[in-house]
Amino acid sequence: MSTVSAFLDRVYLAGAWLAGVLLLGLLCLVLYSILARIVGLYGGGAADVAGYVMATSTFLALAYTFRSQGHIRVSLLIQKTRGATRRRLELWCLGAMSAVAAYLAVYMARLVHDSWVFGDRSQGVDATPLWVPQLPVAVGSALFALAVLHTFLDAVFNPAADPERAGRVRFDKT
Amino acid sequence: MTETLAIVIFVSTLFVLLGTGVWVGASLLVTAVIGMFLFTNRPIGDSMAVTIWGEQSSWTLTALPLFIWMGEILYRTRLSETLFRGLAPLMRRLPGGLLHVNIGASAIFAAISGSSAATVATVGKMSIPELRKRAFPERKIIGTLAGAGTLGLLIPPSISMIIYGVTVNESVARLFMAAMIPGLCLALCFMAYVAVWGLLNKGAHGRDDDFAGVSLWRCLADLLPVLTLIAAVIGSIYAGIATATEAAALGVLGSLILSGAQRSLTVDSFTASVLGSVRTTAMIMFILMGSGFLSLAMGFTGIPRALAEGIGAWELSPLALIAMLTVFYILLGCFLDGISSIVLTMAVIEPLVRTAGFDMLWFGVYLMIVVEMAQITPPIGFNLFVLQGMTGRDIGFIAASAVPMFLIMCAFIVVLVVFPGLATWLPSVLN
Repeated sequence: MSTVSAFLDRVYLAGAWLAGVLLLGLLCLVLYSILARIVGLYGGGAADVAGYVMATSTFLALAYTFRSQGHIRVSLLIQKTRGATRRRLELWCLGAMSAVAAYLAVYMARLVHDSWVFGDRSQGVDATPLWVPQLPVAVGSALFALAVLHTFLDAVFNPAADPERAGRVRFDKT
Repeated sequence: MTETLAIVIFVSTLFVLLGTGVWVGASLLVTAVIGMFLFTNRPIGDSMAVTIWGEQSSWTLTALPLFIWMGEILYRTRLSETLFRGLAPLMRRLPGGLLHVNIGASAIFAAISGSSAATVATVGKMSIPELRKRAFPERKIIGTLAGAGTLGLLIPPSISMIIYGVTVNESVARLFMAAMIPGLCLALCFMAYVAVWGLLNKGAHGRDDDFAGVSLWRCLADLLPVLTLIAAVIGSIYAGIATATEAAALGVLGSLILSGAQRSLTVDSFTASVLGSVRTTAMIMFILMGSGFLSLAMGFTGIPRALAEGIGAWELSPLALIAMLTVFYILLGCFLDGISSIVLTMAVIEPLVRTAGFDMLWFGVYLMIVVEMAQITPPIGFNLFVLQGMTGRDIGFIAASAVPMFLIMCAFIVVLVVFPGLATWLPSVLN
């Protein structure tokens, strides 16, 4: 089990690295559009593509952010509880989060499917078929759902594990 | 279904989800789904996917990850050191002495960073040990830092301001123009407080003669790189030659150059800055996904309109309305972080504020100050947590030290209501 878990954590981290590369790409894209405007090169569609790059980067990083305790929650109550109550609360939170993440993943996938079937294109000058940038976003949502479910199952089947650690995997090199 | 029932359903769902510790983004999404289910026949999941896709891939929002990255890079430079070295000789003669460095450095760092936590952390890294060494009272060191650090939210660029702009469809560039003068005024108010304290408590702090021989040129040389970066980022927006996103990209480039010149740019610090910013971005975006969809759902329920009409019927004076909202936001800020409280409330508050006839630029500036105040009130306050980590003092002590700053901000809100031109003048001139 722990090897699977460790492998998955590597996958999430890989997602975050890819998100980082895309962030670098976003920077280059915006810098290019500035340069293009100054020297009069063609920079059309850069704004749309920048948006796609950002969306992909964000979604690919959701899983890693979740596993490294990056997402925000109100922990006033949870910090005050101990033992069985604490565990039930954590399971409820992780269960709710799993449902939301799975719901999101399903409908982001459906969005890609619909865009593909109806041949939706971007409104901008780039006229990109929308399923192309939407596909990696759907992949990111699926990865996010996997990460949440992973943490949830971990909490269910390892009751011995400290509830403090639910979803609190630390990544060594960040 | 009546609006009252709808409000009860929404508020109780949100309260239970947030209160039991469900992640903020997920809580908002669930509440929105329930709202959609009760009030419309539209396909819920598909509306959610389309809304999220549209918002998450928008050009306006691209300024956000870039400004976050810029802050992450600068946080890893030796900027806190240079700021202290550059400002200390200039400010040591003022009554209150080096305490002013906390405020000055915060204001300067706020002008290149969009986050108040980063501002507190960066400035405090250097100034806390240096001020302690010179026997300044701990209460004043922490209090001024907690207060001035919040300028990170107000003085442009500001992450929260971008989020506000995206949420209410106002130009981020114009919001950045509106926030500058209020930001500087607030910084001056903090400095005035320190000066008064210094005059009343002569000899209450240690000596700072070790900066006596430093020439003005030396200080300017230390501050020049930062000032250039500010000019490039904010100046390009104000001059109208760059959008917020383009200015952010220039800022990232400038920060990389600056940290390279300081020799603090290593492979490790670079990758850490990238990973840190994708993490912060993903965190904020998840909340935005929830709030974007919740706004859509809210629109179908009719709550915002009903509330705007209902409160409009009370015929409150603007000052009374603002006083009410201020109390509301400070209470909310006791439980939620700044970004969550902005996005969570704007769906309902926006129509209310528009109906009341407030300028949305002005309201953005106001909102930043209230959210700043919430950052330094317990039990939840980001700046309190940061300072707790840095000083080892407990939250209660830090919050108590920040009380004077909190009161100054309260007073400043009144000033802002009386003189709305503080916020609206610069955007109208630069337009």
